[in-house]
Amino acid sequence: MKRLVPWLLPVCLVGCQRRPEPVTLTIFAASSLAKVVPELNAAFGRTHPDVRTVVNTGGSQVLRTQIEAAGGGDVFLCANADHTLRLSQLGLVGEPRELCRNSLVIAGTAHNQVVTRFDDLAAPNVKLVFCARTVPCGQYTEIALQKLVSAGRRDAYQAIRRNVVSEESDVAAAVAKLELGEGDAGIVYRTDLRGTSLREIPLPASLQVEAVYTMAKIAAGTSGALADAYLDCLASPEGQEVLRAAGFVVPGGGK
Amino acid sequence: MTDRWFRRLLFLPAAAYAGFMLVPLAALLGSAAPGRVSTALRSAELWSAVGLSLLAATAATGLAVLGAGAAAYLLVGAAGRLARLMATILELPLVLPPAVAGLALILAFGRYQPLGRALAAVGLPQLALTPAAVVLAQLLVASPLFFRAARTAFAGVPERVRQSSAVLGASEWTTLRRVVLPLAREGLAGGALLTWSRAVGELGATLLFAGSLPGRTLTMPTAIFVTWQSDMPAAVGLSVILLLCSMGALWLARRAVERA
Repeated sequence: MKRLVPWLLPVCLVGCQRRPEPVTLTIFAASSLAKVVPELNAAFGRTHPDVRTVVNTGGSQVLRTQIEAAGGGDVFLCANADHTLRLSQLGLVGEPRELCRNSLVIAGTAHNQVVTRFDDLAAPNVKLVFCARTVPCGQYTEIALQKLVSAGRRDAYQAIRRNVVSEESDVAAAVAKLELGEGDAGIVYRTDLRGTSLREIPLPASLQVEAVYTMAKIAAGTSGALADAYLDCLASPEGQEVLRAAGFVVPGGGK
Repeated sequence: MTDRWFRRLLFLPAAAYAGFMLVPLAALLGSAAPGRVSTALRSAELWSAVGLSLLAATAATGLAVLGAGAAAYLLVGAAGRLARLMATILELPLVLPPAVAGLALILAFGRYQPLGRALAAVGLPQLALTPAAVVLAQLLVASPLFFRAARTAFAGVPERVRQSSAVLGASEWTTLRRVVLPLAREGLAGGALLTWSRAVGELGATLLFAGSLPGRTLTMPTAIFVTWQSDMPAAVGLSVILLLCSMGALWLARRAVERA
């Protein structure tokens, strides 16, 4: 122990001399926002240089469980409006606000050209990698495809479902499998194609579904006013522009 | 210190440890809504997932016993540097995060990867995203446990016992069957049970290499993981069912081993 003292002493001195610990804002962000959150944090940092932002990403449901069962974080950016609504009813988060929207696209693998338009999804022997129907991306996919049934094209719906070779636990896993060519095509969020080798094939407008992303202040958070400032920053023209540039749909196209 | 006090002293960490291990399980069981468990029990999807989990784990354990068992038998006798390197490599997947193991499998056997193409060229069916991929993912992740157990078990058979069997004119196969295997039986059986348990709970590698298609590649752990994303109470219900099924299967296996 005695031998440690000379080593510990400078650490203590530096520790004492340091300015007061910067305030930390903890952002709980849905996986599909993971790529854009650092850019949003940078935008926030321009007006709040003394605030340190840390990010915890995960599936929206996993984050919701962490907020419910473990209490943590200051801000929740969620890919599914249901979760924030439920949490606000329980008083665990403040009033949810809309953050942005995301649309669905068909993602074709770069390894082949088996799928080049929507109707190809129903062709025989096409391998489709979808998100599981229990995760948001898969739920939106199912809503979109159900519109085929409503339009009297049940056979096309069934042909597409038969072609599914895997249902992935999250959209990132679906994108990864498509990039490796294990599937010919899949349906993912438009923003997921950024920085990948996948080909973007539009989904017919009649089937399009918009995913609504919401944001809310976490009630148990310790930096209340800052969390509000963070949400205001994301809602501001600057924040919305960052989201628009990343491929998200924002009201008024980013103003 | 008397022996009695020594045992009392040991009781403290043992009780703390047992408490720590039991509390999360109890919390899981406690939070399971009986309604959710019974709803889950009635779904056909669940039973196909249970069936696949148990079958695939049994198949993976069988392959591990054959492959890893043979490798362990051969490597125990060998003392060379190459043999030691090989043994280390075969145990390496133990430290690999399962998701990485799954990625490695898909990069090896995927349909656009060199080996995957070569296999397809000779007419073999695709492996990735099939029930076979579930078995292979479990084999890669769980078999090192059997390899390690088998090495320890074989190494525990004294060299002179083997030699006297050989001196008496027994072939190596007869010696293995009549002398080595009976002596190593306990260690091998323990290793097989451990391997099976690990295989049943396999998640990461399975998700990547086999996917999670209900009725085809969806296992209990992947079902729990995927369900959790939308419906936590249902996922807890599934977890309880997985725990009970695995406990039952392990109990049966242990009894069979003890009887043999």
